[in-house]
Amino acid sequence: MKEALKKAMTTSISEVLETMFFMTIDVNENAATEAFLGKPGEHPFASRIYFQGKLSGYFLLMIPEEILRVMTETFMGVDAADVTVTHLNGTIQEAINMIAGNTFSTFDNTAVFDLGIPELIDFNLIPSRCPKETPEDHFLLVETFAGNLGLKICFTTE
Amino acid sequence: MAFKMLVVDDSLPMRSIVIRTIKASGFSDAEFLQAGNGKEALEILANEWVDLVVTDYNMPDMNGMELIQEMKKDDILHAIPVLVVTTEGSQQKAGEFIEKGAAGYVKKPFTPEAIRDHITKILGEVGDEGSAEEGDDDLDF
Repeated sequence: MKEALKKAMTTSISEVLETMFFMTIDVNENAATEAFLGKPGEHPFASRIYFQGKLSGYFLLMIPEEILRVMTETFMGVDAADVTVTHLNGTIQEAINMIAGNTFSTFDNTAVFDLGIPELIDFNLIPSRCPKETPEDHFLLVETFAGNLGLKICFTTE
Repeated sequence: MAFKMLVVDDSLPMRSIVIRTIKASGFSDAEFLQAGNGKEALEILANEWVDLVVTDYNMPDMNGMELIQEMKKDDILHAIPVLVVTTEGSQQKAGEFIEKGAAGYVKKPFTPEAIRDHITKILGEVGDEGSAEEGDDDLDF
């Protein structure tokens, strides 16, 4: 089940980034969370979305500003100079929304998963370990032409 | 006569890409109204007639399903077709949208062609007096 979920996450983030953001990516399924967290001087944008259903927990998407700006320009069709923080926030929230929904429909489209509303969180407050209520985890390091972004899930089964 | 459409999504970037996609789908003359959730959409619909509502499902205050239900209860608004564009991918949820009265359902991430095909089908069923233009199979932005 865990392998199927990891595959669904990989498929989902590839589909979302390629279809909606026209980005070609490589996904490293074996990287540790520490490979992304805590790099000195980095303060990526981060968004979290909770879910409930056959699995419960949350997804975290972490994107450095430089990559998020490129994604936002493509997504909104605006020039770099016109991209605002509101646009960046909206883009990362919509990206995690699509990734979460697409992951679950790929993982099991006969099950209903209720998604919450994506929220913005402070990257510095993200713990490296999942909380004890949702102890299982996967982390994907997503490599793009502009740098790396991170997708993490913390979950428990019903 | 150009079509008037209401795009409902709590994400500003998503509203932006949906509108761009529809414009590129042969509806370049369409007029667009925007709302951030179902409640805002109903406020707009109380004063404006639109030919199509394109809505997300997962929104704060009033979601897309609740919006469809409220519209179907209304003597006037029930006639406006609703296209749901959402991350919800379960077969059960998709069936529920149609059962509640949605005219169509597109799953995110979507291709421009998927949006074009659904809207052309829906507005073609509504009437042929609109401004849909013949387009290529592949859409460019």
